[in-house]
Amino acid sequence: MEAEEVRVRITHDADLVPARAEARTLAERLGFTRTDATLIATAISEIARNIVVHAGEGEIVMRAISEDARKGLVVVARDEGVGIRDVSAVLEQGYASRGGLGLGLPGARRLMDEFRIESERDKGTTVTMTKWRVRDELELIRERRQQTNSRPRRSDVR
Amino acid sequence: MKAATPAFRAKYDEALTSFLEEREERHLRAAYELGREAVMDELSVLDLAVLHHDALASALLESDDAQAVTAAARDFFLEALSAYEMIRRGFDEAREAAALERRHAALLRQLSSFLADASLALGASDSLQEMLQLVAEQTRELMEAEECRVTLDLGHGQRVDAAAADVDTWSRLSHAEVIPAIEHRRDEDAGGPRTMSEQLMTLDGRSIGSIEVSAAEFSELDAALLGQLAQMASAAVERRRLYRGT
Repeated sequence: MEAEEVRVRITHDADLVPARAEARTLAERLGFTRTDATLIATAISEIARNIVVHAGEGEIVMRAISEDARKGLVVVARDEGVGIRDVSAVLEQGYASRGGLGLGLPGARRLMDEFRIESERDKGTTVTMTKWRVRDELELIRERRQQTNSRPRRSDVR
Repeated sequence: MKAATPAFRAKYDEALTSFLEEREERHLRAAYELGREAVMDELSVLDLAVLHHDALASALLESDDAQAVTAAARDFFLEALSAYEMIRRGFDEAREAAALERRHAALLRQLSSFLADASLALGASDSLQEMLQLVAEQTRELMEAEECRVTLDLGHGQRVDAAAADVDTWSRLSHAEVIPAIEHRRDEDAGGPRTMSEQLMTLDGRSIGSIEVSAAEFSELDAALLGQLAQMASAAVERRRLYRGT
């Protein structure tokens, strides 16, 4: 269940809506707060907009990941556009450079916990970003109890 | 900051009303776009809050389910504010970058006084040990490192060592005890502080020693600073060698 992937094709501006909706649904299923779900939807809007404006088309893939102490929502956005010439400069936009307000890719980076861009000239760009939610003690206790209950009892095994 | 235009106000009212009628993602997307537009038009977040409150008040007058309307309006407002959140986080980064630049400037000022002190030490004392000790202490302090060790190879099997350590960490050790303690710690504690070193070089490119620092973590600035300090220490040693023939 955790490895389930959601794919949204991005070909025009209106595709931001299903991408946001899928992200919100997945975020809520993973137990993210409403505020975090909004931040994830916003970050997805920014990278989807980036695909539409700079590459024309691409796709966004979302999936859940789980670790012992936390759960995460991973978003991978791919396009086959012209690529980004200077990734560092793009990510610093909004405070290091004079131009820009810090929306777009740098804005998305700031809303997520992890953010990585791989880009190759004339081959495209892949943005991978993750938002984490720390699992509280109560949740871990409940999960352990559920696992214990689901194990076959000695009396059930013959 | 600019005030909200009547056109923006009308768009916001309309978008909120649509969302209250139909709780669909496309209307939340509209809220996000309005927030983005507000940021780009330099609309104050306070104005946006007032505008939202007015729109909500109007919606509540026409509704008999105040709780549901208020909850939905909150979701809508969150979307509108998310662009401001991006800007706020950018501002935090800018503030941190400015603090780092201030630290850099302070370090450079200390570097200047360090250079002057090293020259004075050369004039005031014949002791190479004393000069290296000054280098070790200044380097440790400038880089906020836990430890610093400077080693100079005089040739013919002769070597001079100096070391400095954080007072809090090594307060009970004498200068003579610090070097063995650093070596012991390096051997025993693999998960301890990270180490970075630079060679001390003569003008003709020969290695004559090294300067090594240990700290929990290093930045790119630290690497550049250590390189600069190694060059200054090398130059000080060379000056001494040229003037005193040692």
